[in-house]
Amino acid sequence: MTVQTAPAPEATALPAVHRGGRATALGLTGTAVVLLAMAALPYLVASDVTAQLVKLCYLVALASMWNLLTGYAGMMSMGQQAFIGLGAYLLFVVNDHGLNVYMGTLVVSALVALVAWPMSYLAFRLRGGYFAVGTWVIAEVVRLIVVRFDSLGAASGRSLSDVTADPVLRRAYTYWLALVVMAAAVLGTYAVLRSRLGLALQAIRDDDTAAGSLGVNVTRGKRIIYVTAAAGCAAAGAVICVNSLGVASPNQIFGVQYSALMVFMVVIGGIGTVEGPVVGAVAYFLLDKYFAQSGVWYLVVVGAAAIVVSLYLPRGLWGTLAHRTGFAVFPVRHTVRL
Amino acid sequence: MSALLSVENVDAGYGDFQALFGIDLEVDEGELLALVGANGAGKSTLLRTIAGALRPFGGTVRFAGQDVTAEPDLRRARQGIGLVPEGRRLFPSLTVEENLQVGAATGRKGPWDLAKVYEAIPLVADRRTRRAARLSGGEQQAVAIGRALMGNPRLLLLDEVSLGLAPLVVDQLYTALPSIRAEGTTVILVEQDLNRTLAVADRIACVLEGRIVLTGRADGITRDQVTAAYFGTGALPEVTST
Amino acid sequence: MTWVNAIVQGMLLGGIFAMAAAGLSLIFGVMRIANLAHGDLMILGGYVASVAAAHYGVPVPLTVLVSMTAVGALGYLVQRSMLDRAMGLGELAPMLVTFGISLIIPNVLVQVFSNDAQPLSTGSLGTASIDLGGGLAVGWFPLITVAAAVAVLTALHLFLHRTQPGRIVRATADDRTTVRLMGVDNRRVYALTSVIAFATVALAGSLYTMRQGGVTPYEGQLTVLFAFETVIIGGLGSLWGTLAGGMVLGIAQSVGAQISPDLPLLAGHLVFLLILVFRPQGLFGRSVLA
Repeated sequence: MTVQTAPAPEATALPAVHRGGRATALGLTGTAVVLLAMAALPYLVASDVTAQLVKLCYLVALASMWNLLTGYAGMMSMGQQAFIGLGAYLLFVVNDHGLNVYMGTLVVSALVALVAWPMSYLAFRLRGGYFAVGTWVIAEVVRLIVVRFDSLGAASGRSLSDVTADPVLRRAYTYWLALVVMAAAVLGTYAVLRSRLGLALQAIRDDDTAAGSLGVNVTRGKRIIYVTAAAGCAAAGAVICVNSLGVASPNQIFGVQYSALMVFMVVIGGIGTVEGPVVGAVAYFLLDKYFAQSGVWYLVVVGAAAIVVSLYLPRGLWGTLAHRTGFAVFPVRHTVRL
Repeated sequence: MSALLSVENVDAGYGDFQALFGIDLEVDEGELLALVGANGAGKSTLLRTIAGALRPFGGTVRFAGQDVTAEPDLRRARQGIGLVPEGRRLFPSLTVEENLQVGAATGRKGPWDLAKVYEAIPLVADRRTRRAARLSGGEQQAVAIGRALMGNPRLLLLDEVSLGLAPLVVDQLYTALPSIRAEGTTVILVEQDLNRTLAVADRIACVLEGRIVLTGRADGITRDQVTAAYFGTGALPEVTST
Repeated sequence: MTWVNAIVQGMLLGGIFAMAAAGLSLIFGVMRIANLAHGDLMILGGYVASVAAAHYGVPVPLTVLVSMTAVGALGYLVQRSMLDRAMGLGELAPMLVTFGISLIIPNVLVQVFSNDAQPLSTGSLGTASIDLGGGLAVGWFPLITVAAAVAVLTALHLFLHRTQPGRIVRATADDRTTVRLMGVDNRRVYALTSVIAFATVALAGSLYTMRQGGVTPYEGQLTVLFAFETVIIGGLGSLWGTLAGGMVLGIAQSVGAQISPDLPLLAGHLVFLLILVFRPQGLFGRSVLA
């Protein structure tokens, strides 16, 4: 699977603008191999292993979405839990209407995209830190409205009504669903960044006034990303819901902890890179797996790590590595060869 | 008599771009030196380097006998280097009077206070309660000069005083110069208008592409010599100050 | 009469929001940092006051000063050790630092004091009220908090507009590089700003805790929203707008509570969103769209 759309440079003195090339092919091949291997896991390992990997998958998806918003479009959101929660809750609605949860996840992300579009007009009235808190308020409003529906379990959460009966099959399906959502989030981010929109986005992030004066439609670009990230988070929310067969409490699925998580993963991994969120998600996954028992001190460590990394390793783990070595699995930068 | 300011072999610039090459310059106490040169020649960069707003790549800046090369801008301001920056950079939400008061933050004692600034620059006095954001360009420049004076500098650096201003306004600004000099303040002036420069300066230094190509006393230098240096044309006469 | 009562109570509540918002507004104005930890610092202020009273026998009115001093000092440390550095790294880094702090504070509080409410009682003052007749009564304590809010905002206004350090703070907010040419160390201005902002939010937190009789660790997640909403409702850069913003939010919440006990938060947020839609520059401020 090689993506080489750029026409071969003419035999003139013009410098050739180059992107990826062999590295792209290698990166995509490697990714395909990893994904295929992961897809085969339910046949190879016990289901409790894949059950844990479900969590890793939705963490990667969430981190990628937050990175798309903040790392590429410069919008720091503290309110993505609105879409995670909506994803989970709308899954109840479509599931109640007889749609299976796997197809339902797709439908739910489309529905949330539709909801996010008008919401963006509200959120975009604010900028910077005020945007962050504005999105948080919107998430609170969504939560406070959702808990007013008794059919959705009100304040006490509820279970999915129709799920795959066979537990082994259900776990395998859930895992594959999570894997698809993760792959879509990561590869989708990559595709967006390599598109025209991706270039515009990076201009917006670096200086949106300048980008605007050069003819980049700043608001439109941001809106597309906002809606995309909302749909992605909704899919992740649906996966979370499928994985635990429902929602324990609206306060949990609409909790600002999800934003905290996303910030942490992206900052640790490396903001503004495709690979960073994946690395950050794996780091958090391991931290969570081995230290979650140590109670709230572990959250204190998470907070401290976020501070230390943003002050002393602002590129994050992957960003620092990539910067030192020039290596990328998903190359998005252009190189001019003279 | 040792110089108040001496710049020795200074290289400076921004990032990878070098704007100044081996600059040597001395200014005596009480002197008025004018820097002339085309846009982009490096005059503003030199002033910023003297004020400490820009750290040179190499070379030494001495002020009042002390090596201040490593001192940041705010310390140099307290030691008596006052810069009227390019673009004036007033505090837009503050009133004229408040802008002047902030200028006194250097904590230096001296002849300049609100009353004296208002007396020397009438243009400022008329606008004391107006917000700086609502001033005309000439008024802004007047306030910027007044603000620098409030810090009671020993050395006043005036960048592009008349840039973009009507000649009449510039005339008004220049009326303040004698009272500034009467206090013994040393001045380095960047000015595009050559006639005006020759009229007020004791000494002139021409900057061309980051180098000083000509220095001399204002009364011992001809317009042609300056013009030649300005554009880098013709053989450069070797003129040295005495 | 219950409605009038709800409005009066809301205005009294608004005083606390205004105090909390003032510090937030100041930090944003001078350093362009949106302090995501502001709500948690407020709660921390409440804890300090409460612990001073419960464990060290400090008289309740004086706990406010203890809290302001301790949290103000923390402001100095945070600014000097973290935010100064973060400000040099771009727009996102300072926000991430305050986010980290907002994660650390409540979880340390839980670890040290558990999830239970940490009590702080104002004794008889907490219940004493002036009867205005017709079933309308105004508690002494809420009245004191409003007086404190007006006093704090007035003091801040006088400081910023009538003193040389205040002018320098405003000049730094306008142009942080140019003040250096006047011999001003912008980092010391930031430190001063943080100390003032942290101390006022500690005051707000102490009074908030006294008003409720106690405080729990995670309340900062709510109060940070209230503080931001207050700033935006009132309009950026206007201290009196901040007071009005606090009042509007307080009234919305307490009228909401009057309609239904589960409505105060939603009512407050909705009023905020309505203002965002119809008057994004806030009631009294310059535009936040800039």
